[in-house]
Amino acid sequence: MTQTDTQPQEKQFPVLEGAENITIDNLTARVKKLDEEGYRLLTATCLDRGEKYEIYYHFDKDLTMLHLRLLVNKEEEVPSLSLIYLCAFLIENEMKELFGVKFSGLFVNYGGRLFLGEDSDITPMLKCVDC
Amino acid sequence: MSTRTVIPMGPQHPVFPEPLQLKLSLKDEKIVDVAPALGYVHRGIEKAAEKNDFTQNVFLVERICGICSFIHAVCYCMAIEDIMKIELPPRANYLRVIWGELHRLHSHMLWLGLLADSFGFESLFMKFWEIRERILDILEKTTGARVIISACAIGGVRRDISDEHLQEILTVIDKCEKELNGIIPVVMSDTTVKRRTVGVGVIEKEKAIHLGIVGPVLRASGIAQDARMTGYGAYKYLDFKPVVEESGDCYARAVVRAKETYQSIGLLRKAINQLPSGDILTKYKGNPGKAAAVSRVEQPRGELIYYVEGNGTKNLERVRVRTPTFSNVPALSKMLPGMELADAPVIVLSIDPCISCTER
Repeated sequence: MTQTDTQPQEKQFPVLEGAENITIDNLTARVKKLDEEGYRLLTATCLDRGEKYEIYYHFDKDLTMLHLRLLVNKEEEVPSLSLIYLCAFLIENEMKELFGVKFSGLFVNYGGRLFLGEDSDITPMLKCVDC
Repeated sequence: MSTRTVIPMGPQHPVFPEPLQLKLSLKDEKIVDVAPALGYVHRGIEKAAEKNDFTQNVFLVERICGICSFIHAVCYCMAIEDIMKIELPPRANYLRVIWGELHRLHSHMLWLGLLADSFGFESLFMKFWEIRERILDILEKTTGARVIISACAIGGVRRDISDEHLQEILTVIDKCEKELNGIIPVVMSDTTVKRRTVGVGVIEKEKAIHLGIVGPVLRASGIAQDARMTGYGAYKYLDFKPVVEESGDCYARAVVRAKETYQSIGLLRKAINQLPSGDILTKYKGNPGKAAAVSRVEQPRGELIYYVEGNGTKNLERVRVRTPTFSNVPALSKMLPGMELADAPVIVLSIDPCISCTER
């Protein structure tokens, strides 16, 4: 399941083979449809792409995976999937805490403290540009 | 008239092998709501995996879990092998199955023992753990370590298993099977076990997929889903069929795991009998290129997924680990409400929670 092709506007980063591009505007509708079709939400993977986040939502049906790829500016709010798939609340709280992704409509909100303690670094998974 | 009471279950609790807190809201003795609180064993392993050389990560990811460590390494190596287009020697695929199934066997026996312990059946608990010791002894003989065996490597496996040790594995699993025949019927049919597990913590088939549950919990709800059905490694040659139960309660989860111990014994016999001769490691050169891969395998607790992305250097751009308990914890908020407080330990244990896996 690899792909070395790159899209013209994001030359430096690979794109997962077969991933379906999606936008903030049609994310919820697309995921609702997948839920109706019997897809299981496996997880989501967040990647720090400089000015943007790249989020892959991974689904499965009958042992075949489907990946949705969302590129969003870091200041934009991403609609939460936790009202469609309850299990998304842990995934999204983790992304919020470790990457700083902003979610709207998060069903259970840990306020950015799911795994980390009060004295831990904020958003430790972001790439350190000075390192 | 009753009022709501919030009881913190954990982080230290007799049935939890690892720290997890569940805030249980009660009305009298009935659970009405639950909120999981995590963060006791987060180690930042995904971040550490970006800082390490990609070859060192094999040892790092093994340390995510103290029970299914080898299977973490297999899943990580599969993703790297996918990116670098490395073909494994057939013997290496079989050896991965053998060590993987030994891990599943000892993990399930550990769980069956803990289940017995959770409702105070101490003699059954000790008997399961006594049998489990024999599997750990095999792991030590074949690799030099009992739990974190470091036998997996990118391109295959690091060690071979001698004919003498293969014969010994067959002898030991024969003995284990005989001993399990004496105690697994207790789990399946004993009145005290059934009274604590039948109809408790039910997840119906229709809700199972939507809740995102995985592994024995999903299969106990009547869904035939097991990553081994994809035929990764040598599973495609072993005629694998998943164990499925229909009732979706704690009892069904126990039965699935009990039957899977026999299934693992069967898979071990097949793998050893079909084990091809030849190399155990494919040599490779260079670093993972700019590419991404998703791999998945079946751990004792369910489906494990790795997303790995290379950038052409010895460091990886991203390693994302989705462990089975991470998928099963949200389902507790459906299993627990409506049940008695006294059922909570058995229900929580029925998902076989691994908190070190969940938090990484």
